[in-house]
Amino acid sequence: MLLTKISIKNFRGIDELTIPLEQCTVLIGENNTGKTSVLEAVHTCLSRNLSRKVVPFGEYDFHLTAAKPEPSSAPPIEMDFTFVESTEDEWPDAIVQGLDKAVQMRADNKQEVRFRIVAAYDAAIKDFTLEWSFLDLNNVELPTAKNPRIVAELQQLNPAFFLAAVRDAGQHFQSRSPFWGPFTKNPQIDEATRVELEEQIEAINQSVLDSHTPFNEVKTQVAKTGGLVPLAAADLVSVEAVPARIFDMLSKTQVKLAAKSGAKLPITQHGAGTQSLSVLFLFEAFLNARLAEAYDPDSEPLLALEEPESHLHPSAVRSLWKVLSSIKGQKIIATHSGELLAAVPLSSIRRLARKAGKVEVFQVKGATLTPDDERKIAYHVRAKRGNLLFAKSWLLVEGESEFWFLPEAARLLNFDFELEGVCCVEFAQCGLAPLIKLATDLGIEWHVLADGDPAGQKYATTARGLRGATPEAQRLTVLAEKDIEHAMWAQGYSAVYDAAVGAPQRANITAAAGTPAHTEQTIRMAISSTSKPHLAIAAVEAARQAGSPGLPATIQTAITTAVNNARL
Amino acid sequence: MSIDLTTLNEKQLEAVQWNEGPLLVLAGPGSGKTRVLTYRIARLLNDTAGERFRILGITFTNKAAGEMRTRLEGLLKAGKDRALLTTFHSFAAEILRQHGHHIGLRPDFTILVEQADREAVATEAMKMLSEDVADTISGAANALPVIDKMLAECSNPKELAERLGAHQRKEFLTQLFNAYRAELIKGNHLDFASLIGMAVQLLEERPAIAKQFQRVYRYVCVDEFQDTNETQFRLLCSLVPADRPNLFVVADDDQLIYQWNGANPKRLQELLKRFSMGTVQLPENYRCPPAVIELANNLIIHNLDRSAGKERLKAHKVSTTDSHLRVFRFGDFAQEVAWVVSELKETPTEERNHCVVLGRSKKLLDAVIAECAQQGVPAYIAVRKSQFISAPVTWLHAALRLANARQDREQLRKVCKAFYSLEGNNIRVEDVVAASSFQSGDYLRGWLEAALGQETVSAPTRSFLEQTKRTLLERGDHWAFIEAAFSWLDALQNHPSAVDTAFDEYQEEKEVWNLLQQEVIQQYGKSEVSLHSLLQEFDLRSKEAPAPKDAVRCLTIHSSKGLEFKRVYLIGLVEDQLPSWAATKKGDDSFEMREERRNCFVAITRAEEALTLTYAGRYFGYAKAPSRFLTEMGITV
Repeated sequence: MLLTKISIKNFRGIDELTIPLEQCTVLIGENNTGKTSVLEAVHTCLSRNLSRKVVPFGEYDFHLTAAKPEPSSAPPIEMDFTFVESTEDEWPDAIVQGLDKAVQMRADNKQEVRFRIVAAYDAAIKDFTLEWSFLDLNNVELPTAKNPRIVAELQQLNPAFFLAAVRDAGQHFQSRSPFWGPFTKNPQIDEATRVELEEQIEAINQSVLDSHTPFNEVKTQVAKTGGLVPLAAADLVSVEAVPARIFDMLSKTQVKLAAKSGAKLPITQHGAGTQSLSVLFLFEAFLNARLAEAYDPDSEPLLALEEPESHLHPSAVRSLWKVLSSIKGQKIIATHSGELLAAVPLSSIRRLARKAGKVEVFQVKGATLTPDDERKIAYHVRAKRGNLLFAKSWLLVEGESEFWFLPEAARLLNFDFELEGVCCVEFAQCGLAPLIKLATDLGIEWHVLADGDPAGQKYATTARGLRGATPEAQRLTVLAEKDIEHAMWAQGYSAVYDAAVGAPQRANITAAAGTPAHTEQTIRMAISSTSKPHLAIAAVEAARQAGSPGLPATIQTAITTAVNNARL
Repeated sequence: MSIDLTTLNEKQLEAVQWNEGPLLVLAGPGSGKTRVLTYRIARLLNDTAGERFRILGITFTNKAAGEMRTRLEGLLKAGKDRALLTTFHSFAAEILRQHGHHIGLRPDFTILVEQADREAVATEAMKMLSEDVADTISGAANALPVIDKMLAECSNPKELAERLGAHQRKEFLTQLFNAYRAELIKGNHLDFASLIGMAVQLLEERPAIAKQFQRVYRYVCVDEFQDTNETQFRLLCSLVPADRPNLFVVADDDQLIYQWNGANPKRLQELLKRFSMGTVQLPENYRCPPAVIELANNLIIHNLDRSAGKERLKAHKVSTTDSHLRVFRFGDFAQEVAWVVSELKETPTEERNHCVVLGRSKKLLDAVIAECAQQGVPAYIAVRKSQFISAPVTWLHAALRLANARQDREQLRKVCKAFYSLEGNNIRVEDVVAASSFQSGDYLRGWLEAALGQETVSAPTRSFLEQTKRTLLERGDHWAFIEAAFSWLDALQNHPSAVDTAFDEYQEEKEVWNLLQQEVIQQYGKSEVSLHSLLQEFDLRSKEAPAPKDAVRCLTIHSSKGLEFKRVYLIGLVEDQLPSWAATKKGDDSFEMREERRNCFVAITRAEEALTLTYAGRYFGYAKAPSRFLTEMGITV
């Protein structure tokens, strides 16, 4: 039963947010954009039985503002959960019968369930109250679906689990843990075997105590308790070196992992990364072996997973997506890892970003990219380790010269692209238009720096066509010169190029000095002698020298605009 | 734990143990059909404990559903929530609450029960008709019967077109039908006549929704199938999958007496054919004395269109005296009635509610009521009552309706009027409307504030109104409000400012209210009864008071359906009464005459211990011959 949409109002920092969800959805966004709030909202509302109307939120879960700083004056928390069939008749009888009067039929004959939770302060009883309801397709409350049984069924058939960024194995591998606990309960040992085993344990216990006598003193002293408070008359104090009962033993079972050295260490003694991974696998084991028993054979789990990459080496993170994809059920994952994102299909990504003080959700729209564009961009994302998707602003550049040159040039202007959230993205390989559309869909600001040659003019036309209502200056800078090398030459850095030309290549420079042909030939030979990145760095180095003529105005404009875009 | 089935006879057991597939149970009167239905539902639920599907049981009246529910509770420890025992009308309302938005209804639709309200809708509808057809019928009052007939037989415009064929007023009727339905929906209203038809239309136009119901309600059981009409049958057909119809139908073609309401003897044959249904017969009668069974068998064989192979009733009761059956002849109707009443007067009061006087028409019974008054015997005749009439309960009902539809001026008017009778404070409708228009147009809030603004409002009333602001107005807690309202009204009864007669029928209507409320809660479970559903279910139910314990009960044969009494007096057994004048005119083998015969069959088989048949030489000034049914039953006249 796929949760296809969640809408949240007035929850913690979230004012209003609607996120469409898929089988596996990845949330990205800066800190404080509400990723964790989304995960916890899902978990809070779908993991426990709300039918008794106990408010599952704390006071600080209310959306507090300077104007309304008290939870009692805060607007009500409102959450809508929408479940829709992926195909007609997808849901099994258990869902259709269990949710019964809450099930709606859409025009496309797919069934849908809308569940709403509202928590508000009730001044009359001076306490927070919780109301839940199921809605029809016009968002009108369904008066027939008020039986608490339906809510219980929803949570039984669609249980949500949450794994926070800190996944401490000590906490998860203990009998009270929802994932480990079910493995240690309901021993599948028949009565005769149990009795026999417990007798054997008792014998072992006795021989341990017989050979290790210091406990006798403890027994004698503790037995004095019986003289002061009423306790059993006979066999008052017993010492158990090993748990005497099978159920007790099961609940204290430990899982150990052998380290490289061969030593079998409890999971809690391993590093944080190993612990984190083992908890993830424990969860998978729980789903495979115990979910049906703990919930219902028709249950479909929903996992809210926060930063699965935490404590892991990048190469481990890279293979994480495969692991996550294999875990059954629906997943909502929040991540800060470009390594992980590099493996995620673009359509699964939801980018949370603050626009004009308000968090908005961005995603790639279905029709934006052709399969071919998507393939090229996916390649790009993988090659750049996903980092460009975390940027706030893209500076779209044609080739590798700019890619090396601009971040360093920005430093000369006292801007740090990394800190500002600006990413230089080369568009030569996958085309400019798909990247601009992608940026627009994802709510990433963009600025194109185009060369002054005919090819550059074509790119400029593309950028103009896609800028929408945004002023052209914010979206496009066109170099006056043919390319960035010519621009730097014109700015007075001809020496950089001249010096780079190797002896064999110099013979190819035939034009008279001072002519455009000479400039052209020199730059070409300099590139042929070294490389574009080398020249880019050399040019920036030259610009860094005291008394340098500085950077060309167009380049300064492009850098400043990209930085300003990131600051919007 | 399994259900004890040892008390069932062989045929009953066969029906109770029926699992998948369609089955018709032809159950004679007193054959334990309700028992068979409840035992089967209980057994299925018990055998499938842990599953989620539900069982739908459709009965003819809310009373029958309530009785089955009580019996089910006696049989089952757990799982009874998986049975929905309801009526065609209630279930149609349920379907429309959940899915009505597909045809433009909101879940809080109201069901119009007053003829005046329906006429208002018809009037609006007639304004919509195009000019060339508009004059065919004058006045909404004349249009309503035509509309009702169309609604009973057709659930959508396409069917109406088929039904009308080349009717000369086809254009007019089609426009009227469509306009009336459109007006209902526009006002978020339904009425009895359109309720089931709209549900049928929805399920037939959106088979996916019908399928949803089929998955939830894996088994469907119907009681008294013989009296279903076309739209009810269509609803039933939508509720069972054609390829796996777990349809369990209990019927008796000999007890079909609702032909005038669209029931049809052919429908049973259609049912058998459509679902290739097997049949189990329950001819054993556990209710009536053997002498009565003999009469019933003698009578009903004169109907030649009965189900093929229909078995004779078999009496299981043993004769204890020879006074089980008495037949009396009188000079005229007045003597007949005087004698019946005088015998009932002699009956000890605690036994009177086990006695009933049955008559074919209400006119015959009115004479009994008059005679009872004459002789000083309390008497009771059930008359459908669509509204509460006492000021206190009217106020409560209108306040709840206003809470449900906050801009309903008519309910506001009723609230103001009843409050004046109760409290003596005159709050003007116009003032509330004007004041409310400044604040979101909520008349309930406006009224409460206006009432609280009156200086003359008493302290207890003030505190109740303050409380109502919190319960009903702000939290929508109708249960808390109803409870508080009754305490307030109870206390107010002795209040000096009340209009003298304001509380005249309060006690009686309060009891009816509690009874109906209990019935609705039992049907759905308290948490599921929202304010909308409560009001809708109240609209569907009659508000008449139950018969007082010491009163002589008078029932028409139609309303005695499904009931039983120790002593039955069937009066007016003459030609032109039973059989009716219309049937006599149509002749001995007419549909009408067969229906009259079934009426007589139903009437005599209500008797558990004693049946008294009476007739006279003259009725209302005319000489009448003894009923042909007397002779058919084997009684020498």
